[in-house]
Amino acid sequence: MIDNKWRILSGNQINQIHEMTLRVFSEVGIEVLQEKARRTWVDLGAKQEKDSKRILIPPALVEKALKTVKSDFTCGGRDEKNDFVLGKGKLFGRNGGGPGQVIDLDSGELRNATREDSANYAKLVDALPNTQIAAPVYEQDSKPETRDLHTLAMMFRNTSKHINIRLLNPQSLPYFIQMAAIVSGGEENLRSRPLITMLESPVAPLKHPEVLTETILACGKYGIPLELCSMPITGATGPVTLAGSLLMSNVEMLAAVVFGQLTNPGMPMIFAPRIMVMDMAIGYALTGSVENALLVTAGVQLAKEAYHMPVNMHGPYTDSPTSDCQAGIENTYFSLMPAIAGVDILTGAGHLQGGLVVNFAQLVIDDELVGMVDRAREGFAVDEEMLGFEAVKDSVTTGNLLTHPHTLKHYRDNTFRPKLVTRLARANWMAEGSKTMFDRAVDKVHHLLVNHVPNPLDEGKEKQISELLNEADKKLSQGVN
Amino acid sequence: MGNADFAQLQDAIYSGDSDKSLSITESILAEGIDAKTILNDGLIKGMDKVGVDFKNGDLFLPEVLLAARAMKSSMTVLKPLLIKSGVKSSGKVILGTVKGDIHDIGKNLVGMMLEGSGFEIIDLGNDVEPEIFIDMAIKENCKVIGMSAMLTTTMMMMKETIIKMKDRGVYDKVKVMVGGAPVTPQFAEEIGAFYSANASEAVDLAKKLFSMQTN
Repeated sequence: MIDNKWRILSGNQINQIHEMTLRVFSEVGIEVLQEKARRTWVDLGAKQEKDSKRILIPPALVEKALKTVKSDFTCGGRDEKNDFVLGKGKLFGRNGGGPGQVIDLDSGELRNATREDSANYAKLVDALPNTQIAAPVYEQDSKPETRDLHTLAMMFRNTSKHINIRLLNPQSLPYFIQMAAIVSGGEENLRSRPLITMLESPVAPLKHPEVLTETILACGKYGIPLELCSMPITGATGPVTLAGSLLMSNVEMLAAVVFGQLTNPGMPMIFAPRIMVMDMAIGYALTGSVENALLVTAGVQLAKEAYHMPVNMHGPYTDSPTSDCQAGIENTYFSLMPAIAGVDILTGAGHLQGGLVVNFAQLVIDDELVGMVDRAREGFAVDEEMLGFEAVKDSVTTGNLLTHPHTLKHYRDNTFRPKLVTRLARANWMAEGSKTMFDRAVDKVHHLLVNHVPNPLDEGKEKQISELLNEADKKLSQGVN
Repeated sequence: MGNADFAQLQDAIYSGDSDKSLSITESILAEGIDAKTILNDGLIKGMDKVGVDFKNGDLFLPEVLLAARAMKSSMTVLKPLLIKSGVKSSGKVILGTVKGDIHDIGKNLVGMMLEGSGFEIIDLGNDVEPEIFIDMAIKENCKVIGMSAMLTTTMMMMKETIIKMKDRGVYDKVKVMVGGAPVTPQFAEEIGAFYSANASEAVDLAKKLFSMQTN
């Protein structure tokens, strides 16, 4: 990794944001919506504002909490070869999760995601080299109450990589943990090699909903990594200035970190400030503007320099509804900027239109982009051997260096081999059908869906999962669809 | 009283000056002009200009909201007079973020924009149970209900709410408008609702829905 990470905030500015965060904690506080969580906060030493749900957090609690934050931890895959350690300088890609709509690759139309899409999305991630973490699209045909559980099962079946998923129904939480424990082979295995990261969010401005506090406690109890994602909108649910919304986001997430570390010290947590920038002329919350990209870059610095936590940022990310030049431009700066600032996970491959829709071909393109970005931040070595004095000297006599010992020694060094970009001469490119990168990506999707076979889920575990799903369907569904 | 007063009132609305719009409204009233004329020739004309310039990208959202606020401040003195003289408001709209969802910035924005266009808003807040929408629609004899959802999951609650409206015989008497990041025109159509993509489109849609109902 390059020695000098790109920094857009100075150390003083980072301190200022942290100090101001402490001030907001003690003077404004966080609105904690669940009574049980408010009581826990008070037991931990926070103050509850009279006749309100606001919790004021004294600096001493923050200091105590930050001492137990983990800067790195293991994330497991169903197949152990997919395990990785997060937070030690390596870049990991995760595809964009959450939407219920996909762009149909044959018709180009937007449509509801089916069960098959949900399976295929996981299967593609399983096959791709630069996406180590899988997140779901949600089929829209299933019952909403247990959709999240069926989706998690679908992912366990179709990928043996680490999974990132959030609750759609707060009641699913215990079933999530049971399912992950089944696949892990017990709670102890789940703790040492957690197969899932859960994602949960404060709600701007400054609210911690019940599902957040419950998920923090459950993740803490079972050692499951928790990604804290806060998304204030500049000028709407956060201050209009970039600095102000960064502060807002920091307050919302750091309060969650404090709650988690004080209730379960050392619980694995991931910082994910994903501020949205409002276009004041039209009233839309953007995710792919260059200002957004500045914020993800600054957010990386906050996580790494102020709190020493793993950080997951949007990127590639775009507001474009389709896989066009705009998507190409936005996705590129939106992954390169946080990456060279030192982000641990880039999230968003496959997303379009600010994360509202998924396009499988875009996933394949973005996977390649993340590979390039990963290569870019490796930089290159400069030393006597690399400078190649002998090669320079010998070039005078040999005329070219194609078979020079220095070339033969290093020509395979650390060169990223893209699979989708074309490097053909025009005539050859035309002979292959004059395909655009998008066309080639569609071909690759079709190829992978036919040829890639994920490592299958153990039959005994599959049976246990089916039983668990049956139970959840009975208990959580009321027959609505 | 001359046209100059109305021009000043329109300017006060346009520039979002609540104090000025209120004081001009009061002084025009004192000259004996009726409330309906002030509403139509002053406030609504001012807001129409705001709407046009917003669509052109000349005005930004905060400016529109300030204009809406100025209109609301003038309405505090005009509304009682309008009711007394039997003038109906543009319409009453119930708004809420559906059950399970506490994101309300979009819904609030729509509410402010609708108010700025002369609609009366009954804001049920967020995490609103289907029954609450229905009870309020019955109680207020409200013709338009607006639902908001920010999450792909809570979006399904729009469908639930409409099913319950049908069960209780309310659906045929109201028009339902929906919006929010994950909502699409197709989804709205599927569940029997009307879609708008943003707050200013929501105003146009509400106008259309009320005109459909009076026909």
